[in-house]
Amino acid sequence: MNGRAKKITILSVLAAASLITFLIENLFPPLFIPGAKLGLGNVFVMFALYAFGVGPAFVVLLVKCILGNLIVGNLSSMIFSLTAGVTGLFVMSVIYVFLVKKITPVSLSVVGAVVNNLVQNVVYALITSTVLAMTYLPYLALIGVVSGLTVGFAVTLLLKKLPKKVFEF
Amino acid sequence: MKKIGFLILILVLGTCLVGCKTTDGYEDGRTFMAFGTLVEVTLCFDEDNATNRSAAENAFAEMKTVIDKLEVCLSADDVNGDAARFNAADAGEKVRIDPLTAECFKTAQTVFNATDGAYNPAVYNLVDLWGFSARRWEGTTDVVYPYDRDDGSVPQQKYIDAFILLADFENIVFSEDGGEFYLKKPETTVTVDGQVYTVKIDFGGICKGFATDKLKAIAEKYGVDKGNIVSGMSSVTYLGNDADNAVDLVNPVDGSVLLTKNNVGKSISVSGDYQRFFTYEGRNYCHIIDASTGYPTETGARTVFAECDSAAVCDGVTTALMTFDATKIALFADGEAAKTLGVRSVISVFEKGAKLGVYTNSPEVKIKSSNAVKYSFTVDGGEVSFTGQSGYGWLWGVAAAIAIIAVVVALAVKNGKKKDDISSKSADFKTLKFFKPFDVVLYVAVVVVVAGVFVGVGVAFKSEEWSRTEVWCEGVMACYFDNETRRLVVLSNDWAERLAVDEKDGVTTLTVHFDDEKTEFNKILFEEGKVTMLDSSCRGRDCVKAANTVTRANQIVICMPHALKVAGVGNSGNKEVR
Repeated sequence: MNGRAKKITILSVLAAASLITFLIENLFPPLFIPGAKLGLGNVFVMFALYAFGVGPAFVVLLVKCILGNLIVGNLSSMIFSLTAGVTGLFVMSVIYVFLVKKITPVSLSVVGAVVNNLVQNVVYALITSTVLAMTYLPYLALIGVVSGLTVGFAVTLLLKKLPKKVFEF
Repeated sequence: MKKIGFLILILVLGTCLVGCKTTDGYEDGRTFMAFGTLVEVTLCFDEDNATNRSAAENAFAEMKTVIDKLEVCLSADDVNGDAARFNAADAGEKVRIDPLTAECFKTAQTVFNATDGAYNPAVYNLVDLWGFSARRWEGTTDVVYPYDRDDGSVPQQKYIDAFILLADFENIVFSEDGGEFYLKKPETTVTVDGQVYTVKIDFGGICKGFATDKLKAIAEKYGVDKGNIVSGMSSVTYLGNDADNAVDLVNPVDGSVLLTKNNVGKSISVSGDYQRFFTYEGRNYCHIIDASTGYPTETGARTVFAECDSAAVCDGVTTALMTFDATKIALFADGEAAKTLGVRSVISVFEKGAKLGVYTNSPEVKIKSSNAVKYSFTVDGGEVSFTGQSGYGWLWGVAAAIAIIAVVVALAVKNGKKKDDISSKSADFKTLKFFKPFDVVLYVAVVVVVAGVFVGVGVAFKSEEWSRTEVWCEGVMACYFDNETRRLVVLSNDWAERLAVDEKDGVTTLTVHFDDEKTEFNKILFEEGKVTMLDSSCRGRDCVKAANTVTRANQIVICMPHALKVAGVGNSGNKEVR
């Protein structure tokens, strides 16, 4: 199989895994504000970022966000999670392109998670004109650090420990 | 225009509900009836002592006396009153008036001149003709005129043309002679269908404000520190050094707050086309008559809100500005006359398509309704320019999105030029670490941001006493639960039928229904010290499972699918809650 086909195959698996993780996470109760979740599906987004680069990472993210919210039936929250996800990945991509050799996926993930949560809350407050919703910002920021660390560790482990054979087919 | 009329209330949150915001001082309130309106006076003294208590008593007593006197002087109905006697007199006759009436007349004259006659007390003949005087609207006397109509129709043009000539305020001559004051009626008369009519005046457009100013003077004479006078639902005046208040303009048709004006210190009042009006053959006719056309004002102004140093000026100016269009209002607000009169700021509301355009020169106006759009105006050398704030918001969003997409594509292209084959990269992956020195830079940045967020939120949402819990449905404040009275107060007519309230054992349960079949709902429990989202029919029931209680001010429970919010609010009342 040539490089391109392999890339598409692996990306599809990543996208599917990301989507499934999102759906499973959705079954759990939210944290502090409606719609706030741990974001474990981002493991696969970051995997795609490291394995294939910025563009593919966005593809995986969009699949997770758009399809995920469509399946769950939550159209209104799609706007917030999509904006937040894109902004988070955007910030991560910028840092990645320039600094990937100098940093670890762990710290990158923390940055992405915190940005994601903050943007989600702020956008929600703006669109629904609920300034009081911003009282949740501190909690979401902390949750972002925790989930960022978790996802970062998971991605690093995944990338390190996956045997070479997985990539050769 | 809406058939049922477009009503606007000034709701003073945070001052009316909780009085004077002082905890140790002495506060007392009294309600008077003046000019057919309820006038609520609240006096606040910083110290609770015998002197202040008796001062309050004496102040109220004196206020009662003054109000009784003013009603006699200024009301056009009381036959002994100066206004009525003036109106009944013959053309050219000199009528003696009370010093209080004289003072009110001079004030009216000042506002008449400053507004170039737009506020015109001599417009009474037209007001009576159109049926908006107390005589016709409230049926106060049995006197009948040939032009009265009982079929709700509009007056005949010949009467309108004639009575325009009678709005001759300029030729009323004020004189003083040995301590006595006189008003001389103009010689102007008109004859219609054989009946002779003379110039008539009505202080209705200014008397409530004039009375408020008098009451304020009395309160301050007795050394009041803070307080307010709320007149009807359309005027608020602050006493003593009570400043920096926030006042909300509420639309009672749907209970939504239209806007908040911050930093209100002296007097504010409103005039609108909703206060008295009738509909004939599909058109609305309101009680504010334009003396130049003889017709109710048709500029499209729905309401005008003015903040001035004096309540009387507020009254007169808002009436006058209702006959101006947006540009003319802007020119006035910026002009010399407004400064001389002590007009601090002006807000006017016009219909703009399906939305409401709010035109103001004050930066302290915050739009609260999603149905309203703010237009700031500036005047430069006689030219008025309006800058709208709608429509541009989402353009920025689109621009930002395009920018982000462009950068992402650029990054992707730059990044993707490397080898696609992942198997070659897997060797690099083996060297990935969990921590590298440079990580610290990122972590520090994150810590700074998180700390900033904590501080920012702490500052922005200062802890304050939890005074009530507001329930907002689809952008409208449907009701609120007052912690002191432990009662649920329903504000919105629209939502009243959709709320089911159950009070039992000191605990109130509110069910909000979103549909007729009662399948979509939210259930909220109001207990001592805690408000809980008990149940919801929304998908996921997130609002019931997490962040589902309010135990203090500046805390919120949100049910996103139903656009319902339950918010704990403090005394300041001017926080944004939606």
